[in-house]
Amino acid sequence: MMKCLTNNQIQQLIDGEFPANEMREYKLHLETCTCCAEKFAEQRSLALNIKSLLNESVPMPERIPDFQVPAKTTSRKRINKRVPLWAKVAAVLIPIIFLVKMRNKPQQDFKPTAESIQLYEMSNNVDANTAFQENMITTTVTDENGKVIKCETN
Amino acid sequence: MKPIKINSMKKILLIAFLAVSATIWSQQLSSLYKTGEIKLVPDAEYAKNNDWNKSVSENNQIVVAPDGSVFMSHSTRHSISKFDKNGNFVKEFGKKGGKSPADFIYRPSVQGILDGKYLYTTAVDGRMHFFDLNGNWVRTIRLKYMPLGTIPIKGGKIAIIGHVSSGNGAKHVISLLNYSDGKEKIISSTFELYSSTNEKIIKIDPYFYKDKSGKEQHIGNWISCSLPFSHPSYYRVRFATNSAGNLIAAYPATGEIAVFDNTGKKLSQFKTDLKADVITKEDREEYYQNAAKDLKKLEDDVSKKTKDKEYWNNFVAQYKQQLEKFRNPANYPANLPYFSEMIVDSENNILLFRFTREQGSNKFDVYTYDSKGTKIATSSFVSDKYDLKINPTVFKFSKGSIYSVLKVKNAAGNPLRLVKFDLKKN
Repeated sequence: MMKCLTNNQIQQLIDGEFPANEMREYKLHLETCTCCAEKFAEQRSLALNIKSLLNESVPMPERIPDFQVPAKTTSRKRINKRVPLWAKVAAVLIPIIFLVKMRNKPQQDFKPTAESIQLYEMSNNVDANTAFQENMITTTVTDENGKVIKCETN
Repeated sequence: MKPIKINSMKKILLIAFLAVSATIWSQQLSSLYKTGEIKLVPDAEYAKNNDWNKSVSENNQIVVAPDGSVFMSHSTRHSISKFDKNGNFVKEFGKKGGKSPADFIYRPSVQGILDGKYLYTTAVDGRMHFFDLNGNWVRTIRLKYMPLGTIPIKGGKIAIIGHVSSGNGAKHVISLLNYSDGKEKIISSTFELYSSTNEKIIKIDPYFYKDKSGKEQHIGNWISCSLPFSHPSYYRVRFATNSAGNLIAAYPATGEIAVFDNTGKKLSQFKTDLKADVITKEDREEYYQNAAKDLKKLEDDVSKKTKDKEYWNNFVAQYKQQLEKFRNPANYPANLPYFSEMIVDSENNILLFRFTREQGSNKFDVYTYDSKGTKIATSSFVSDKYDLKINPTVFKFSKGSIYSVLKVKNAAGNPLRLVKFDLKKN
């Protein structure tokens, strides 16, 4: 004959924490032992009351949906397939060509005018062996926009 | 006492020999100036096999490398010619363009050899190209202004005279460029003398008229002529360097010479005892008569013209009205520049060339100074065979000789020649 259940065992029984074969034995005992059956009924009632109280005062926690690992990545591949190869090559090549062009583009820090070119040339061509009376009238011709179009020395 | 090793002894003897040789050579060059006229004797073997019609053009520049090879830039093409130490043409390098940084957009002008390794050129757009001595492009540095002249000095630096536009007129800036990092240090900045001013020019306006609809129109352009010696290029600072690699700056407007080290620190300064020539009343009259002669020719041409007659009559009238400017002393500088050019010889003497009144005489004054500014002699160069052109861009001292590009007298075909001269007492 099985001994009467302790309060602890009755609570474990309510919570279903025993293995199935023990559960069966304990339930048979409850059917034959009125003392344990009353304790069981009393504790289960208490437990249900506590549960109902908790449900009223504490909101149910939001359920975090289970993480679903996509079975296949077919959709992403499908998107990539829509971009033709020539476009991918162009996307890579165009910035490179642009950068190379920019790098090799002639960069003039200033644009010399006809007058400055004439001044530059004169700086290299003064001849100390020329009689100074022959020196040196500089003639500059400017168009209506102020642009020097001719510059010469005689 | 530690015995001197044989190798060390050899070194000492070699240094002593070189020092004595240098002293003797130096004395020879200095004493030549004291003799008065110096004859430039061409080396007959030098550059004798070149095709001059292909390899040389007018208004070029040359640079002599330490090994005696010569680099030449041209007025007619965007390239550099290399000649070996015997003057024989070796190769041509560089090309016109702009796609590659090695290309010349504007015509290059050879300037010097930096640190014995790099030939460099400048151009009017401020681009400086650097090549190794085989003509391979190494680097391009872009200046933000127009370089009027440069000289390589010690420590990988280049002194530059920059023409910089400013709100109140152009400035001449002396800058030291460091090749390694491309940075510049400005050591002086002065306003350009005799920038275009109205009183020193003859200005001719276009001919204005009203068309059938009453709208104002014009024919022709604005034309301005500077009077003699009122152009700023005569007064810009001249550069040279000495064997110590310092910068020697000569100021034609004041007759002063200053020596700077490669950090821009002024080491010495002196004023020459040159007396600057003045433009006399007779000179002014000569200018006036020449201008009047030009006017007469212009009047003759205009009388034959059938098109734009009114414009040309107006042109002549304006010119005639301003002709008197040539006689007015107020329109001329107080004096001529103290000298026209400076050249430093291989003995570190400073040669200052004055403007001459004798056209084509091949004689001119040479003033030689030591580094402290002591006058040594007055001299001149003469050549029987060549018309001399005295400009440091084509008249280079190297190891006691002078290299130049000159016109040979009475030549058939292209008269220009690359010449190496020895200096002899005349």
